[in-house]
Amino acid sequence: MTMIFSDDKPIWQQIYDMAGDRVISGDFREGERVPSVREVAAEIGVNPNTVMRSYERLQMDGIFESRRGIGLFCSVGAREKILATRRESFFCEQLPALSERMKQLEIEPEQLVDELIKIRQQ
Amino acid sequence: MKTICFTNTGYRYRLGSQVFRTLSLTLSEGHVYGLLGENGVGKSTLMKLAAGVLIPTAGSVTIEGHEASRREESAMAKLFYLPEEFSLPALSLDTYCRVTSPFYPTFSAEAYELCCKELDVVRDVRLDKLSMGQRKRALLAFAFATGAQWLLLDEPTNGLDVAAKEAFRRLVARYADEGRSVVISTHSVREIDSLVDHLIILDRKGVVLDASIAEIGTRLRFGRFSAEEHSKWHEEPLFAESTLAGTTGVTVNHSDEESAVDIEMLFMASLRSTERLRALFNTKNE
Repeated sequence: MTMIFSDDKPIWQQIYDMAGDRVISGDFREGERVPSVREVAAEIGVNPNTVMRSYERLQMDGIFESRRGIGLFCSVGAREKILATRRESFFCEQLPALSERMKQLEIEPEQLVDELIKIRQQ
Repeated sequence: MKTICFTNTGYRYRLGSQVFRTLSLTLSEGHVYGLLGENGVGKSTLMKLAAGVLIPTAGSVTIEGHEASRREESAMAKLFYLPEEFSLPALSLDTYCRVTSPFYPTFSAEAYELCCKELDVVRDVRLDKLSMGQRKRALLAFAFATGAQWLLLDEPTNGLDVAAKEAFRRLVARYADEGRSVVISTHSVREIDSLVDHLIILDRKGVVLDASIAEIGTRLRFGRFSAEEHSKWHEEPLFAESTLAGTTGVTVNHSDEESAVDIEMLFMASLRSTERLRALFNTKNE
């Protein structure tokens, strides 16, 4: 199945994020082999050089690691690394934006917490 | 590095207009090129020159050092050219393949089986009896099976249905591995999104832009923008259109952040702001 991309981020970044999602979901397990650049490119119908850019960044960030002659593996600790990065971006970027939106709509933090707890309980 | 080189290439049709004067362009191994331009700017001529079907009237075209127009067997075996329109012999694809494949030392019977399956090709009916879409799929399957270093595909997705277009994407993505290159000319720019890593846009004066997707995303910004935003830079967008969702368009990228590239918008920008685009990418005029 070819993949549909959104137009707000370069494609290599979207593939990077997608790989992160799959590590978080447990689809890619730490210490296990991950699909090669060519496998991913052929599967989703994307230029291999573009997938390569995502993979280089994943290796740079310690999410994937290459073991010579065997292939690419999901690094031990990868999941925690991604979660830490994403939590940071949640608190530094998404939460301030949400706070602005709440001010605009005149929603108090307490109200939000109550609603959140309700959603979690469902 | 394996290349196809156009060096000060000129071409004039005998009874027609001058298509190229001093075209200089290098295609390198390991890329998927998107070749864009309005009708009549010379996309097909460029491919025919590379394939040695046309002989340049000035300058040269070389395939890995061999003059393309001499059509030496060793050079031609490295290249497969799929014209936009073609007539095929009264043979089935299987017979055509048996006759033609020995010409390509890199041909793979295994790849042939796979490509035929993926493109859902009719293999046992005479090619001249097939519909346009079926013939295109048949020849594409053969093209991908040749394993040629250079695939030149002129409007390859014309006449393909949705399933075949998807198969085409996967086959190109797989092919471009191992240092092989694919050149795709197309009017349907949406179909090459995320498939190409390098774009070449031509106009009547020659090359407007010859850059990788990464470079384009670094120099240009695509997407929604506000009026204040670009008044601050004292410059007009290269292309803008107002939709219900606001103004979208192409501006110069002044941030450090790489933008997603919208090929359709880029093409519109190349029509509206041709010379600015040339200047931004330092494209030499002919």
